[in-house]
Amino acid sequence: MYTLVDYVQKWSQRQPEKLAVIFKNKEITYKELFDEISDFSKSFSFSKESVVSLLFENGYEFIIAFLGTMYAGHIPHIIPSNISNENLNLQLRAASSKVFVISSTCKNKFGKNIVKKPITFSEIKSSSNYLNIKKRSEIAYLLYTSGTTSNPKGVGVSHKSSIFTLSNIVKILKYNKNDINVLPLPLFHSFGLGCLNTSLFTGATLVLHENSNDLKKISRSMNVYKASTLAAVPSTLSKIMSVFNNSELIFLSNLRLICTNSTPISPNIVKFYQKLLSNGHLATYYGLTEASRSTFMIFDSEGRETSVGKPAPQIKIRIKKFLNNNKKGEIWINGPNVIKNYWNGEIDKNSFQKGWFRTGDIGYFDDCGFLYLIGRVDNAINVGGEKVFAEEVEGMIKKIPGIEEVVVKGVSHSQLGNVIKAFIEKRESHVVTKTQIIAYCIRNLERFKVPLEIEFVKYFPKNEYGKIKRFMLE
Amino acid sequence: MNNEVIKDHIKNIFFQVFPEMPESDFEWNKKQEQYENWDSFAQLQIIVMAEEIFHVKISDKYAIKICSGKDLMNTIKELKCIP
Repeated sequence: MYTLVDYVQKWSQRQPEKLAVIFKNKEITYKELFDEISDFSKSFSFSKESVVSLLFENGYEFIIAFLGTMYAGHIPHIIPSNISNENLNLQLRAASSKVFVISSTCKNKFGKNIVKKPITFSEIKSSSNYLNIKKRSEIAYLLYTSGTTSNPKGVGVSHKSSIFTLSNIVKILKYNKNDINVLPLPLFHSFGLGCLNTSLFTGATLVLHENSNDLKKISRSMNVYKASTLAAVPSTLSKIMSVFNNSELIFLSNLRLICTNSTPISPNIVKFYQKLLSNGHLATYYGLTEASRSTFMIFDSEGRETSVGKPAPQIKIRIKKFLNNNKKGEIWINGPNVIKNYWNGEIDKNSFQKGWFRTGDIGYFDDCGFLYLIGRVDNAINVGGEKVFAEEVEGMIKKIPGIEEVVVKGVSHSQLGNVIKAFIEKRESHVVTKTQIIAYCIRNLERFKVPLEIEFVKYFPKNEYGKIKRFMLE
Repeated sequence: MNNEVIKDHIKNIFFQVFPEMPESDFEWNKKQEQYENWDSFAQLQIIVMAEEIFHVKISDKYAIKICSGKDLMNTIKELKCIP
């Protein structure tokens, strides 16, 4: 059984002086990184395989603690650094974590009322009660799902599944050791973590940023280090389009790949970057934490800007069709990337059936085998007997200039039973009226899908993964 | 807000709710049943737009009586106390 650390070790032997990670102008080679990982792995004073909860912002400490825990044979449990006290306690309890390691800056934030006493990176490193673990864990790491509709669920990703997914990423997106990968995403999120893992798996160099707030800084780093790939969420790609003028965008034109994910990408963004990347590609993938990177989409000129691509090798995707529709249905996934169950053996028969994972996403395949997402089963609204997928209406409203974010829900109506209500966050300095929104929807949607109630909100309540808490909107 | 402005706004609402309707087909007395797509959804869309544009609240009592452009105009005038 190979682990990601085995690959880091391999690169530390084959290319010891090669830069593995660059963060805040500090550079660390593969040899230095592996030495740090090895050193950290000796910090634990227990030999039985255990969960080690880690709460760090982006940086070296994150990477070393994550891989050091893995190398020690324990299971790193990654916690978002912006988590609320309540959710932190919930995750620590649910994960049954043995140790809770935290960055010194976060320790002050979460000092009180935490169910597990936190210990800082430097404190745990200075302890010297090293006990060698007898058997390595099969689980590479533990993440919790974003839990937009329910409590977060633990997803233990095995080493086997992790290496399988990394191999698919490399095969399809052609990541290689010559890449300079710029990453302004949080490492605690599965997208960011996957990018970190890919870079180390391939022996490439990762230019890590604290976050995606400072676009100028990110663009400078791309020029200085001659970046070949960038990973960014659609909202960052959208900001790049508005912040930089055409002549400034040259820092992107030499990229061979921009990988995006997390939220649906607007066709305008796809078209813009396709044109900009004259020698490169924009790509995305589909897969929940439970079934990471199940499809890949490399956008080309064939006009499938809203597709999430085709299934990755060895991954089967089935559309469990609805009775009244011959094409659309719930997406089920089967393959080596799919977890068997949620953490702590909570048998979830609704989600796992005979090796298939029921995603709760609604989608369909086109005639060429490309998968399209429509919405979530949970977000389907019954309007006059017709099924309306919130995401379809949201996607349409988002096309209206001046709209920052939209959430659509079904609300009861005295005459019509259920009608569509849209909660809308406008962009600053943009004037958008309800009349404009309704008129636009009338022109572009079936009439029963048009929102009849519209509420403008200043901002949306979001969880630590940046996802809107839909259930809080009424 | 004078009568002409109200009329312009109302016509605009109707053309937005019934985008497929040619301008020449608009008549103030044309009834709900003469419109191809004036269903209960369209009815509510007219009301929501009118409420926003004219800054009024149209109660169910008024809403169910609106069956033509003229009805909407009379309702708005009544709510805005315009003779």
